[in-house]
Amino acid sequence: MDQERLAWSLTLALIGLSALFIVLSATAPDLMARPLRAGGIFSVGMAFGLAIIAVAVAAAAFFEHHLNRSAQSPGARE
Amino acid sequence: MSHVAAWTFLLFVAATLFITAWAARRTRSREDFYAAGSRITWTQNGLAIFGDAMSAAAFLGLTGLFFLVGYDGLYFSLGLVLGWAMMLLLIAERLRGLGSYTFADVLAARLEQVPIRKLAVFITLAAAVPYLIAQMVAAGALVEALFGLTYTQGVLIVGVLMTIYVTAGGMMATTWVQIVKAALLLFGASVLTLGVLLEFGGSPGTLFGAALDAHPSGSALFRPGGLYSDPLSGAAVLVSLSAGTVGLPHVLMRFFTVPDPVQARRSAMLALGLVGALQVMVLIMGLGGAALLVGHPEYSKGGTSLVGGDNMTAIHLAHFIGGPAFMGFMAAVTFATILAVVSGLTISAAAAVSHDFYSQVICRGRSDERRELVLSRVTALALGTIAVLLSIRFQGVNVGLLAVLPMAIAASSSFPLLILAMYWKGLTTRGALAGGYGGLVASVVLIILGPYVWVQFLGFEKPVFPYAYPTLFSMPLAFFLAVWFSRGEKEGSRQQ
Repeated sequence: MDQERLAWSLTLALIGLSALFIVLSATAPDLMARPLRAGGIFSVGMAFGLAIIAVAVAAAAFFEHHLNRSAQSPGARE
Repeated sequence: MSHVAAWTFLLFVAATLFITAWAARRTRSREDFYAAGSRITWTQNGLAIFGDAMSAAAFLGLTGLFFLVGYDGLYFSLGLVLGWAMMLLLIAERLRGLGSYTFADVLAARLEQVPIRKLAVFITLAAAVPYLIAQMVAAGALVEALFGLTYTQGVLIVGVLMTIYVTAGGMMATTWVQIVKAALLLFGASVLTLGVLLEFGGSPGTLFGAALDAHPSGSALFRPGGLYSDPLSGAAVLVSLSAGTVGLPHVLMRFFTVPDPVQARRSAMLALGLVGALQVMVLIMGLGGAALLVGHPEYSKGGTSLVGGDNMTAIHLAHFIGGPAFMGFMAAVTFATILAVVSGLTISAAAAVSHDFYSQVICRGRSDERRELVLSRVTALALGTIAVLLSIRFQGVNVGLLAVLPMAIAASSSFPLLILAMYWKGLTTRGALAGGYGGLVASVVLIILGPYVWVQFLGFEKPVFPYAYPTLFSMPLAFFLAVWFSRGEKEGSRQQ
């Protein structure tokens, strides 16, 4: 996949996750406030928010790794 | 405590002045002054950018927000992280490839120079000057609370040091001041986070339990709605902070300090990683505040009402964890944070005046280098003076508005223009001007009609426009105007 398409795919995926977070927080607060595990306290929504941060950092690392690899072997781009 | 605070701060000032003297000897050309000669490495630049992203307002304010309302603080954290992800994925590399000193270079590369540069000067000044004043008012209040000096002394210290860094050392000094501060902030926040976790045997679960037990909101702390009861406000914050981060001129300017586009991209990646990590620390510190400070007579006036306000959460926490010495250290780091951010703002505004306006608009790209550099230094000096005077005038005024404004303006003008200029071949000069001015005016007007100005300043009962952040409306408007007028111009020229 070329750099521009990969960049936009990752961006749209992250925007989608954030939009989902906002929509669920607004329309399903009970779901977002439910404990992640039965009897636990940390809520589904808090875990979801932190997970988006982790996914964003992981996506960045993947992007960088992918570009560095294709820069080293120019033939791999096609 | 004031001893450690004073010594840490004096040490920081001595180190940064030493750096400035060193940078001044190496700052001779335009390239040196605006872009540190493009000799900064991506790791250094990543740290400096992280420093710009984490202003005192972001660090203290966000810790206080997680302390106060829990869940809804995530809208702010996610906005920052999403913004940095976009910067890395879409902007950084192309920005460095197309420009040399300011973001306007990128727009001017494919549109008409003169009108586009003028627009860029408006955007940069409208974003930088209010932000500058908001930061200096915060600095004055902080100095008053923590160092036992007066408000005016605090504002003057910030104004004078900032002017010295920028006029003498240019971008080289400004970058290194930011790097030193970023390292101090990372160190302080990490120690504080670890300290909080150790109070609870290193177990986040125990910490969360203690936070819910102590906080008056109880389990509502992990439920949406603590800050915003309507569904759109959270979205407005997230969109403002993400798009605003990408559009802030003083942040964009940092990408020209590295030698090439790949290093620009890598510095954005490092900044994203650090910003992401700091969000987790800020969450833990905020909840640590809930668990440890609520009901503690030394820090709380009852419930979540902290001595000095909720912005003091991180500072009180430092006192709880590490005693007066660590609290002094954190206070000095916060003050250094303000100093580093205002320096970056000042140099971006100076570059807009001397590079975008004087050199490109007045002299049409044929300016005398020495004159241009004198002008940028005079601009920095003038800005420093104006900012000090206005900040003294605004003592005690709620300046939350001044921090909202730059993000909204950046998100509704420079952000849409950069995205379109980089990824849409159809953008024309007329389209860019319509979108840029449209977004700029719309965000200012909606802020005036919104809760900050209409209710808090003008004293009306209800805001005409209900949201503090106008971006949900002004940003789409800017995109729409830019595309609409570009298409119109294309069709018009085809018919002729």
